[in-house]
Amino acid sequence: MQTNLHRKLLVPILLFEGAFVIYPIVRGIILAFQQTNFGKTSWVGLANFRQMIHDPIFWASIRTTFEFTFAMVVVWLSLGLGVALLTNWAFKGRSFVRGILAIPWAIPDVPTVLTFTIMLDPNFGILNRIASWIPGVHHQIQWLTAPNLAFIAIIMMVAWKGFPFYSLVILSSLQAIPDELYEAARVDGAGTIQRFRSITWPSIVPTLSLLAVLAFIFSFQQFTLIYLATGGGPGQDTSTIAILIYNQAFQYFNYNYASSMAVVGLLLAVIGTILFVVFERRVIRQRYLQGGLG
Amino acid sequence: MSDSNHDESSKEDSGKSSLSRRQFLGASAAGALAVGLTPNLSKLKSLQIRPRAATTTLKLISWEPFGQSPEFPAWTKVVNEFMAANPTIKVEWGGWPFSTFDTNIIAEAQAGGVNADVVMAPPEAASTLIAKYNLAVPLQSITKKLGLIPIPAHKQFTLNGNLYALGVIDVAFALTYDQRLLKAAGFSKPPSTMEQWLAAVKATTKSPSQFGASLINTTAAQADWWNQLQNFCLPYGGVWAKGTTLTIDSPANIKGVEYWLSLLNASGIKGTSETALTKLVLSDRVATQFNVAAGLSNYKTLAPKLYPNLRSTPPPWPSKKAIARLHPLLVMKSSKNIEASMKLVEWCVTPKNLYYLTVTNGYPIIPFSNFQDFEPGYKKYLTNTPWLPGFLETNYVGEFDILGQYTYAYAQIGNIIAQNLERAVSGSASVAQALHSAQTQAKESLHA
Repeated sequence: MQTNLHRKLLVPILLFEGAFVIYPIVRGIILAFQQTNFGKTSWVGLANFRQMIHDPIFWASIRTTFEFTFAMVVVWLSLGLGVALLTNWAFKGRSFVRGILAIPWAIPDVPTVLTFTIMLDPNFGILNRIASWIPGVHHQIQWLTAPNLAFIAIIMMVAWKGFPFYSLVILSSLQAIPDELYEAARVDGAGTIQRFRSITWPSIVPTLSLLAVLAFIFSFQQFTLIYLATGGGPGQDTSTIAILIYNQAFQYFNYNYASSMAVVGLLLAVIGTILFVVFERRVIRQRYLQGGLG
Repeated sequence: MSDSNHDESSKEDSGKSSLSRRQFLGASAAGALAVGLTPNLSKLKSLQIRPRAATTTLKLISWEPFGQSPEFPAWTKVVNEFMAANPTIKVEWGGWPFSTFDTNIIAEAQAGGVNADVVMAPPEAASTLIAKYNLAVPLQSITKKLGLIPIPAHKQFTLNGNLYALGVIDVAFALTYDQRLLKAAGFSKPPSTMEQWLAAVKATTKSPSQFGASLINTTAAQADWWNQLQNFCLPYGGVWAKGTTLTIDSPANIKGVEYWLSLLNASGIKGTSETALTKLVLSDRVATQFNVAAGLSNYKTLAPKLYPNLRSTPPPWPSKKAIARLHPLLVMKSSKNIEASMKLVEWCVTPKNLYYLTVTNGYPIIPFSNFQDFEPGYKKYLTNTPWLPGFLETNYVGEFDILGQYTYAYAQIGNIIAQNLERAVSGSASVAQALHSAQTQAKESLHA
């Protein structure tokens, strides 16, 4: 009786998921193998994928996507870890500082981009104002329009927006480490670095590996901040696959081609996530958990 | 206990008495109604037998319902007056916000047809519906009937000798300037040559307090960048595409865009966001703009310091050509009420109504060359608006004139050019290299 009730209770969510998640994905995959024009749909097999293989812009965006994703995983985790370690120390006003640090995560994307655009403005931006105090530094740095700088500016912005999530999760993991371990290590004469290597790091590695998977997923699908800040430019320098799919679908109206790109994007995201999970299970857990702490 | 019994019995009693009251009241009401209606029965009968007017419902889609005041109230007034004058026709508004209008309407067209009788569309969407999907009905009978002469920019809506769309909103470009800032820099007259404009930009740039020109130049604002930049094929007589041939990297275009880049370099606003540029213009810190007439009347309240000094002059290149982006009305071929739809379009472009919309909504350029002959108030309006003469002296061309058969790919070509040109803006490529790369990319993307 109870089993049946559980099944019945699952029906609404299954219907919802089926209609709004599974069906669009399946429809998107089907579209990738079709050509739709004026209500007439024809099967074109792998034609859209063949076009993609010969499209240098697609490959450039794949490269940008992986560069961006890799950079974000590293920056988010490093920044998150650094901030978590700092705010884990006992000091006066720690709760206030933790609260302040969480603010960027709570700010919506559009105000974030607008604020950064003004801060990075070549004429009026605070960054260039500060740069102008440094002797010999070029005062009008084109943060969002110069090829390499635009990529760095985007990483700065996305990192600022997302790091509180990572630092808060790592902080909760740090606080779960028993103080007795540190006290015992101190008694044994372990220094700060040694305590970090032997106690802190092994304790938070599972959390870090989970966060790495999340960082990979979040950065792989990042769209709003990049699109609003640079539109994928200059050239294709900040055009990730999400931007390219949007442009193909909603700027160029090539829905089928965009769908084929989305299929490839989905596959890459799934493969990337699986690789991360496998790496986490096989390498990290074996090394740090099964082998014991220290 | 006794109290509760008492309550129950009293409820029962009251229930009985209310039932009898209800019966009494019901009978009384029925009687009164019968007595009251008897003298009016003939009237009631006449109401019932009067034939009900057959109603034709038209669906008009536009971005106006999602726009800001006063545009939609003005349109609503004109459409309501149409319904009052044609009681058998009902008009229902529909559509999407302007930012997503093209995407939605093209998606509908691709999916099999536009679900509307009358469509108000941006120029490239209108051209797409006409040329790519063959969805529109010829409308030249309307202009013929009203005696209006469509400006040449209507060519973009003309196919096989038929005119498929009539402009109702004309977003026309010209060079606008702040005469106070130019005078302060020693220019008593507006620039009439390209060299003079460049010199004026250089002389009025005192970064970061004042800038010589407002030219959009970031891909974050690439739609508006392209909107302005598209004009810069015109200084040396270039076009972005001729018929079915893309000519993005033609020598004339390279020279035109190099000129644009020299203005940008001289203006000191390279890399500045569109939001910041707007703020600079409104705070009277920009000397010249390549701007559209639409919305300039709003400067009266938005930029009270600039407005009294705002003037316009034709583009300073020999041809004095600029783009007029006509946002027209079209009647859909799939409409079951084509006759009524054409009546609605005719009503909207009737001089009295179009003039009312123009003055109310701040789109001062009316896309019919003999409009002044029909509406004397328009002539007065033009004379009394000091920032208008430059717009009136400009030679306007439409999107079709510069994009040929690729007018439907307006956004796509613009996106490709802007993204590539940003390399030239940042100095990592020349204009020629950027446009050559854009040409190659556009060719592949459009299968040209």
